[in-house]
Amino acid sequence: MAPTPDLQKIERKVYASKFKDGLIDIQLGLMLIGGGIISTISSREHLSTATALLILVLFFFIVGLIPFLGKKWITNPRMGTVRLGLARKKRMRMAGWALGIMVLVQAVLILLQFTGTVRPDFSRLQGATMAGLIFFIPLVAMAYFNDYTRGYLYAILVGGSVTAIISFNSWIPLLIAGSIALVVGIVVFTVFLRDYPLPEEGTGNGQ
Amino acid sequence: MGSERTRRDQETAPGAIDRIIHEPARLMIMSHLAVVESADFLFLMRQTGLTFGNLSSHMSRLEEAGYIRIEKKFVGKKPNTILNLTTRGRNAFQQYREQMKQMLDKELN
Repeated sequence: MAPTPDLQKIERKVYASKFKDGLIDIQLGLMLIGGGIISTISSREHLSTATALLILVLFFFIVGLIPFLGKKWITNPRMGTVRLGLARKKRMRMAGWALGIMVLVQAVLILLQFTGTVRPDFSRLQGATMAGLIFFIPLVAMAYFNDYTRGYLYAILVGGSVTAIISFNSWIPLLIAGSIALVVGIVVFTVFLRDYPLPEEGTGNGQ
Repeated sequence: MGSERTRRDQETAPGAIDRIIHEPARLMIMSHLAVVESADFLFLMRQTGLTFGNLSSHMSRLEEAGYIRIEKKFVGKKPNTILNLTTRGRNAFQQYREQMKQMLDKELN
């Protein structure tokens, strides 16, 4: 260790440990795959938008439990727990604000387009690219503010797949993006289980 | 008892480098605790790469110096040890870093 430790580096390392279990990747992968499958089925079976949306919300809720339960039963007993410092909490608040503002601006833009207030003269590809950017930019911001390196990959995957879905009128790009995220998540999770075995009884708590 | 006190005084004498913090393992523990609000024993063990025995002994040394606070509680039925820096520990760590920086600057100039 250097005579004067780089606290910023240590803080980033401590925070990055949050993503070492791959649970977020698995959740994202399943959400994208599920979203793709549900959308394909609902358009094939002519389900109403409300029914498709309900199934999607239910599915997302169940998948959302993965990181929550996984942290509690798998990650914390192997890695321990930490309460973040003030600097990180401030950065997370900033990320929340940035994301909130971006989503709001995008929602307004979409609303203006749907209500016909603004009728941009876009080609299909231009429109598809714009839609992709709507997902890409907030995900990049989240990756940046959270020091989550793999987040940049997912920003490209999600943004790119949205562009491809509109361009080719197919949900397959979403399934591909989801599968990549899921595979990455499973690999990271496996490495985590190997690197962080459960501590021997009585040695993990400092008693 | 007397020699222990003398040793402790020497370790924390004003102007001198704080020997309690200067030890690499303890410096690592202090650095990790300085960037978080609190962390449990297992988390620190994982992050610092110290063994159970090593971390335990350094933890006791730092607690003895009043630099860290150790709270033992139960999460469900399992015991859990939470560590955090005290104000004294935070100040001592800050001072140590400043002293080290000054020393390095002097060496370089």
